[in-house]
Amino acid sequence: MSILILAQKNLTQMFRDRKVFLFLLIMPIAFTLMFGFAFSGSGSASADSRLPVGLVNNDGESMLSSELVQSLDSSTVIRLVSDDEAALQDQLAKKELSAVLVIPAGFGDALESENPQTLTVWADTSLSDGYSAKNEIDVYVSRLNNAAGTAKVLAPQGGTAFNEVLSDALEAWQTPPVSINASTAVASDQVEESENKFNHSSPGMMLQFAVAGLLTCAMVVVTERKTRCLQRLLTTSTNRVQILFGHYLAIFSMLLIQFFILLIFGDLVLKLNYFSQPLATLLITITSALCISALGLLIGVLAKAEEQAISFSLICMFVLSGLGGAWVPLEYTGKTFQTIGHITPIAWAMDGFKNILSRGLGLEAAWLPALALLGYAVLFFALAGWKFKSE
Amino acid sequence: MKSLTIALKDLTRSFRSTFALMFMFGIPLIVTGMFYLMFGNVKSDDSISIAATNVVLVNLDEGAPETGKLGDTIAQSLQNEQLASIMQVSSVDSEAEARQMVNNAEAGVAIIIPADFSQSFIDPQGEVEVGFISDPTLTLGPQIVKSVLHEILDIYSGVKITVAEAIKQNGSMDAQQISGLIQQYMAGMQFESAGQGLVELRSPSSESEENLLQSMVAPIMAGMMIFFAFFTGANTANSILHEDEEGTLQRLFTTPTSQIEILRGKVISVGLTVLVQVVILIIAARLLFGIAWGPLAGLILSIIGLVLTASSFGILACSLLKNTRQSGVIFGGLLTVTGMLGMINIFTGNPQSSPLGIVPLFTPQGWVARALLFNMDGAVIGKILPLFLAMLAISAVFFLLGVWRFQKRFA
Repeated sequence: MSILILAQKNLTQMFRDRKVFLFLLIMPIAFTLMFGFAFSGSGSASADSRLPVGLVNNDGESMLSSELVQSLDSSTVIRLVSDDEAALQDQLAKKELSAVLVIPAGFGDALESENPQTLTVWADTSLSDGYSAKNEIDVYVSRLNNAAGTAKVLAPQGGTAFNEVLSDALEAWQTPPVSINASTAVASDQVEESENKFNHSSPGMMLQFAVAGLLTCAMVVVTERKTRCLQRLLTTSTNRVQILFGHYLAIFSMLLIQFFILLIFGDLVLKLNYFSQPLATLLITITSALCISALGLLIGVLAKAEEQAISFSLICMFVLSGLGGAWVPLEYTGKTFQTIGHITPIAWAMDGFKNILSRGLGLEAAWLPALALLGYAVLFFALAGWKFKSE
Repeated sequence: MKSLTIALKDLTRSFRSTFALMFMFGIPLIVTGMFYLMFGNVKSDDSISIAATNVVLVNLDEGAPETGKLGDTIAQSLQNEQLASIMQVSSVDSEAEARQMVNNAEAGVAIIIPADFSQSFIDPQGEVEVGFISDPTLTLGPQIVKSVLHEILDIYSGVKITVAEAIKQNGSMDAQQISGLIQQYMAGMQFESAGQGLVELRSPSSESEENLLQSMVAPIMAGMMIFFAFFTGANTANSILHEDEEGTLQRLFTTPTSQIEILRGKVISVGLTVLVQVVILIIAARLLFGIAWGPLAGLILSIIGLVLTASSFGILACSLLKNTRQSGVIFGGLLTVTGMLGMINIFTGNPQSSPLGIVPLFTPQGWVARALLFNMDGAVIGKILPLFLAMLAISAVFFLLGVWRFQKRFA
């Protein structure tokens, strides 16, 4: 009973603080939207979401160059933006374009001969957009070259016959006879194959702000110690375990409320599939809340002053969120860093949520991340308990 | 110069605090170091490499008498050692098994060569699709594998199209003629691909050869420096409240030193502390991560702007507090939120002119970030100057308001 009373006291205290609402609700929602739009492009569903690629065509009169431009225009991955080269390079530097393609004068004629010229693609292939744009250009240039190769073999004398064969070959290349049928492995009918742009940012921000909220959690214990309330509590019949559990229950309840509000927001507003696998989502949510609450409790027990609580909380927020892939997907890092990242509980929570959101998997994919999170929760709570014994 | 004495005393006290040192130097360098390691897979020749994608291959091709099993040729191409850094290929017997492996995240991609691949290939009208199933949680890895597969399959498409065109021109062709035609076509394609490819890639870097890793890590270091400089400004200003609560400030007021001089000393200490922090971080970042901060003139203006905005923001923020117990609001709330907003473009790589690009400008941190990032991109002083003037104006407003409130409080 003491545990419940203590938890209730802490929750009342926390919810009286207006900044709790800022951290609980407003900021996670705002940052989820911002990160989701920023990583995946803003705009309505009807807006052209293809990657913008600048085009400088110095070979405007040749049939091959025109065919190339026409093919690229029909691409579902890139859209062409024409302007002078200096302006396009400037836009590329500002990351308003994914790439700039420069077709040199004489490209078409050279392609028909034995000494083809090279096209220049300006792109930052370290970025996903730059890589995708360059890759798409490669595919179309390669097919153009293949068509020219066919024409050179079948009409080596050039002239009208060459153009006819080239034209036929280019038409055939619009639907290549050997093609790729690409799909994503989604286990559930409720998960769309096309990726929702908030699939990463929603769980990422939810977890990050749960960790950021550790400050509030830790302050409960720190303030109680500073105001001597904790010391007075220790003189009562309430034992240390009950006090610890009382604080833990309050922090856990607050985090769980935060998670549920953000899950409902994600599901209803962002059209994410959190509730396509309700049991799996519940499992990951509860174990995440258990883990992060235990960490908050540990920080509160360790910190002797507000400054320490702030310091520890911010370190956790930056390090755990960064290492755990809450900001940047771990896929973009090396193998070593992916392994290091999975030392943090955030990486496991991200895995759990992404299995549900992106793949539509259920409990079978959630149990392992949940187990890892539970293990962290036990570890943090045990450390907090051990430290609290000497309080 | 009593105010300077007071300022130096406070400066010394700041640097004696472990918490302050951790905040000023430890966390920014640790977080930047973390990202430095995170993206350490960027090679020195400026190409990025991610972990090899696990590919599971299902070769169901039954072959054809004329060609044998073409599926085996595709499998051999995919398992070429030169592609080992991009993909690790294993084989299974069924599509269901391959799909399950992707579901279980044991493989990033499954490639399914259909049973009728060779048969469809020799049929002049035949079309065939190779299955490609990717893990929806991965993006770059499957993309790379798909582009490799495209290259391989396009060879087959090229051959089919050439043969179809030849048959269209000449009517029927016997096996020997087709074989000769294919050899001619392949020889032509190999001749052209023997030299440089048709597409030359160039990186849009600035005039000096820029290390890719630095271009990733440098903005993060700048962001961390700004984020924690503002914390330092607020924390140092918070010492005024601390001294007020401890009673030492009131004792100072009873001395012959005027109140104005005492407050001036406090304010100067805030600026000096931030200045020392920023200078040390800039030097440390240069030495540890090789970060190039850009032209010196622009850098000096940016530093001055940062010091003034961070200090004045801290003074204003603390002047609004009744006591130090409310400092959690500033540190946990205001500074974290404005800091994250100010850095959002750094973490998302968003263009500054995009709709989201102006969001950081609603925070003082955003102005500083813009100036530093522009300077790191080698911008001329004329581009930094308006931002510096904006920071001056913002600082003046914050400073006047903050000092006015403190004076009112201690009047």
